[in-house]
Amino acid sequence: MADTDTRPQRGVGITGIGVVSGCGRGPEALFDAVLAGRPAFGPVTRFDVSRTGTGHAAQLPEVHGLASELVEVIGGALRRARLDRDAEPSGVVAQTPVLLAVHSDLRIADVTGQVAEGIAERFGSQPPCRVYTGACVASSTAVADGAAHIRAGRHERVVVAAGYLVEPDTFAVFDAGRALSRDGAARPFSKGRGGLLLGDAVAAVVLEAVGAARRRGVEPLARLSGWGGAGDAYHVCRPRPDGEGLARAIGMALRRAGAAPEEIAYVNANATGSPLADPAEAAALRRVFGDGVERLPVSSTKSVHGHALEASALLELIVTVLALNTGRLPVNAGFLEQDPECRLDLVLGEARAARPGYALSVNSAFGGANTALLVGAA
Amino acid sequence: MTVGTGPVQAVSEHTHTAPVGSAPSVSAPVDSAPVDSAPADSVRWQSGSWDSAPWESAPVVSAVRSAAATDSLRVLARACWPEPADDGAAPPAVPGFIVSSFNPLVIEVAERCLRQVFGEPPAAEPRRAAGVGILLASAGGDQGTARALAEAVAAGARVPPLLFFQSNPNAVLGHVAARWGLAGPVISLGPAATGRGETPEQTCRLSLAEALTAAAVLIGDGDAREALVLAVEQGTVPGAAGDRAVALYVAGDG
Repeated sequence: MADTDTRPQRGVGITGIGVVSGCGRGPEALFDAVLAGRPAFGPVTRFDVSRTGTGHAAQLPEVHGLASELVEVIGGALRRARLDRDAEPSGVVAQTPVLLAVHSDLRIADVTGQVAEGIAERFGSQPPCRVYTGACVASSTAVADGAAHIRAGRHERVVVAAGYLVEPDTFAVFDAGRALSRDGAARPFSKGRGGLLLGDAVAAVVLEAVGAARRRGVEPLARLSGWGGAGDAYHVCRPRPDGEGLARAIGMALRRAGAAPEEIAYVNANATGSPLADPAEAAALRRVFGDGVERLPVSSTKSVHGHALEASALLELIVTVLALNTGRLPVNAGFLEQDPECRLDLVLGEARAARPGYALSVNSAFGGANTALLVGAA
Repeated sequence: MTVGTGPVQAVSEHTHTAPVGSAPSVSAPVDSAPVDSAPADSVRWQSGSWDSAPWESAPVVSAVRSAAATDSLRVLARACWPEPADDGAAPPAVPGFIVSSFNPLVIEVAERCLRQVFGEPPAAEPRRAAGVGILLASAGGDQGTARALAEAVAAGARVPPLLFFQSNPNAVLGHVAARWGLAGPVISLGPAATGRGETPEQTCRLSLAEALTAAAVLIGDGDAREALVLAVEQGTVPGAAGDRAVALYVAGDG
């Protein structure tokens, strides 16, 4: 995409990424798995699952505490952005706010406190300036806020980090809500889907004003061209079946980027494998893209890395950036048979080559919260 | 813009002594919101559970002033729990929400605030309501639900299915959004950069300032034109005795 931004200082770039997931450590392990459509699910070994209806999740074999993993991943993203202390000794990192998305539970104050101490010690950075707890849209909301800060000139760069490691309480409560797949696979948009599977993910991105990055001699990995959020005003936990709220969020992201629906070359979907939510998402995509949705490649990589709750949206944004940069589209794994209510051009079987254009990552959460993040070439 | 010259707020800089009504009044309320009917003197608040009206505290005043100055944010309505008249009562139970006072608190304080703006639910004009975001900040989150879940798991007991959706703060915001037809962004925030050892009352004020700042960013960026801003903290004693909640309804100048 040509650089048509007339306000280069305010364009928002993604200059660093860092991630560990159930697929392994690093962006390469994640992207290899989603391109191959190789699910990372296996028997849960971290705690006793003998009382639950399923015993599968995507887990890292050896994992440190959540706070420690978050600090490591933030460090990886800063290094990729050439913002570590050696490259930027001038206190740039110390002035960079950290927006953190984590699950709201009894440990949250300890986790955020430990992350604050860890990044202060390692990078001389400020404590996390804001914590997002809004389930599956927590980290995409943080990304949108970070982008808004940069666009408004409040900050030149913001770190967004998010983490969820599969643990007994969320596993049990998702099982109690009958949300977990019972057959060891997540099958988004597929007939016969039976729910989601949880997965580990700790991820971080550095958002930076494109002009500021270029002044440092750093070319962004991609541009965050648009973002949007909208509510369903429909139900405590069910999505609005016609997808109107999600469609509005996508429309906001497109308008912000000045992009037409035909310019979108890939959608990384939210779909979890939920019987109710997947058709609502398909309906939202059809509202935005019309019949063109049948020629728009879509995949939900939750079929490979699982649902990482508050970290999911950031994990999927990283997958979306890698897809745009490599021109290769990840696979929607676990697919059995087309569901007439989810008629989409799913990337099935093997990775597909992308046509030029923007890539869109969408997410939806309880409370009818929807977000859309639009990624363009740098 | 400087404070006092534009659509700037309404919140007294005096933290303990000035009556709310003597501060520059809350700017032109939408739909005749009766904000001035809020209890109007600190003596009344001190006889209730707050030591002063929660929106008069320094962090909230500072956040409102900053939002007003940078984003021209106006406060159109405000409510809290408990108000002096609540006199030790628990917030009304809400069907579908169990175990914890957190969700009833969110619903009750949102209801008090939104009634000032819209009267009866749903909010009158769908077009306007589509631009109303809902933001909730809570440092402690839903302690009652989290504790009930952790105890059930530790004991190997059955986990009540209702805890599934209730285990995330977004869910109750979906209840408020659906009841009132508010279709802007839905945002839940966790602990602000607080220290440790604050009372629920102090924490609630810091959380409100946090949510207000986030609302200013949201409105300034154009994803919402107005917002219901909520801060809720549960007391340390189960049974709602120390629970605190505050709601502000804010609007940009667009």
